[in-house]
Amino acid sequence: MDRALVIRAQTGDHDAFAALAKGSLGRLTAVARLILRDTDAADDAVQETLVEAWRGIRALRDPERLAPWLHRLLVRACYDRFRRERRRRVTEIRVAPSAEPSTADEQRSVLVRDQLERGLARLHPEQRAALVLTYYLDLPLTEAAQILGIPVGTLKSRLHRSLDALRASIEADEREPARRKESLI
Amino acid sequence: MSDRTDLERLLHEHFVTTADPRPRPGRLDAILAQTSETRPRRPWRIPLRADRGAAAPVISRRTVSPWLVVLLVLVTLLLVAGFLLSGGHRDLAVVLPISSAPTSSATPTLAARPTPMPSPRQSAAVPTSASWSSTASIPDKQERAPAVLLPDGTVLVVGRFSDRYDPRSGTWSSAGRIPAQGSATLLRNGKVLVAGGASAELYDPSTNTWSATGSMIVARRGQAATLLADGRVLVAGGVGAGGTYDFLASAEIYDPSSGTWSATGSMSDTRGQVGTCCLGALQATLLHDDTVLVEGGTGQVRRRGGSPRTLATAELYDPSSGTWSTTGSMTTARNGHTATLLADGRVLVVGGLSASAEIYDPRSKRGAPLAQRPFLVGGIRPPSWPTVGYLWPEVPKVTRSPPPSSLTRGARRGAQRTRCQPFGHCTPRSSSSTAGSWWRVAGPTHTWWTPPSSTTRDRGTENTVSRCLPRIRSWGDE
Repeated sequence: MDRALVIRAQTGDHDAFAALAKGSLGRLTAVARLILRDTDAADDAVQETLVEAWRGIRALRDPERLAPWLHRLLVRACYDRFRRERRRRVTEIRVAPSAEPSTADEQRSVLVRDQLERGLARLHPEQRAALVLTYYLDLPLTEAAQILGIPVGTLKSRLHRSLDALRASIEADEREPARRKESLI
Repeated sequence: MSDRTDLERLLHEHFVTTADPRPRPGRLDAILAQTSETRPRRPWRIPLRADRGAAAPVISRRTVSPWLVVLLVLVTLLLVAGFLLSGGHRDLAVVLPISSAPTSSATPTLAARPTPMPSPRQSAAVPTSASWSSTASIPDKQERAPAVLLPDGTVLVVGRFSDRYDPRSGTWSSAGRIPAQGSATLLRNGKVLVAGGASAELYDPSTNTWSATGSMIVARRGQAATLLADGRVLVAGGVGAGGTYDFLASAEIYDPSSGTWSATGSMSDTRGQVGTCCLGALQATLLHDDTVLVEGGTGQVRRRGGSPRTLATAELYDPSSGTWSTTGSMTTARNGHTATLLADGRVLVVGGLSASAEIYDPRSKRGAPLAQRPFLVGGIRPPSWPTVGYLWPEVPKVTRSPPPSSLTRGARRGAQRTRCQPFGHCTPRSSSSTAGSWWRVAGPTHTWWTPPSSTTRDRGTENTVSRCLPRIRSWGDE
């Protein structure tokens, strides 16, 4: 289905591209938001990705590889967006549901989520991109490395460092809850 | 938490639970609107190597960026060398004011009909300082309304309202009601023909009154209109009553003596402007041989079919026979460009969502240097346009995207192959059987959109003439 649509889009059929864009928009939006952690910037990156995809769709040699190609464009767009937004960086804080966790498990879950959010926020977007491609999209390392434009070995070391940094951040939060509360204030 | 496997599992669960795949409402529409007006660009591919294992040598095609780098370096060196050899600084654009010479060479850029080049004596009066000054705000909200320079030196702006501007006093006055939105053409009898939808009316500047005249045969908006040498008015193309993409190829003639419309030959391609944002932006230029040149716009190329796209094609209308003939295509597809008739009979086309310019020479297939006299072109730079339109990719995000000029790269296939010296004249690589040819010249520094005859921007009460025409440029060459 997608293959036929891609081939049609490559001949200039905008309706076919619209169908492809509609099918990819949700996934791209989710990935961009996870990488950039800024809804506006992520939406901009997705828009740039799909516009660039339309312009360059004739360069896609294998129609079956549409999704990896889109992911590659998206990662580049996210990097560009991050560089441009860095000067006027505004931290976006996700508003959690207002209901208080009622059980100990739920409280633990909220705590872990908070720790992960905090740890992810401290990572560089390149590290978050590696984590998102690997642990959200569940892509094989070779494919994730291709999307990121880096060798597999580099991706492995990047994942290793990212997980180490994430773990260190979480453990630091667990050791010093009081300091964390102060920093929140 | 210290176990890496647990962390990876938690990370996966965290991503899955917190990922928000819901795009904002209207985001997809905005993206598709941005892509609908362009075509995919052609990939840069060169044969690189033979596939191993194939029975017969099969050359695969592979994108090779290092080759591109080498090519770009060579092209850059050639451009620099050509620039140095030709002393190309002589045709750099110079910003000129409109305010210091409102009644001579500056105001003709407001005319709906392309105004002939001023004489050398007039051009000597072209102001040389570069500044703008505000004048009285237009009393009514006007959006892309055509403006016509009247014989008494005042300017009529007809959009949703009709207003008249007197450059001597710098004041606006009402020009009465406005019957229809559409093209505005100054007739020989001093009246102004406003045609839009199916209706048409005449404005008499001497009495400041409107009167109905014959209705157009085909209801249309956003059409090209120009005064012919015999005093009749040609109206061609536009968007029909069928909707936004109902581009028309038909044309008709208005005879002021009888007040009636008659059908004439149709263009080869449908041609118009998308939606109401660009009414009146399609250009028709009366040439010195009394034929009319219509180029660019948005429509469908007949021989290609498919969805509407920005056009590079151009056609000539011969009033004596009432027929259209195709002529050479522009090197760039343009929509919302300016077309200015030069004193030597050639036509300068600038902008149209592209920071480039080219010249149409109806007589010769050989390029020639530009005339020495400067001339004025103007337009609105797209990023300054405040409207978030769904019809064109100029939503605010586009300012962060590649420049719109790149959108038209794919439409150059029909363009004539030329070999140009930078900032100089060009010679064709191969001759064409079609009379008339296009030549790339140095372009403006910004992407231009909307001809000066389509004037004002809608910014509430802040409409001013200077805002309507933010840039007027003088352009000279040897």
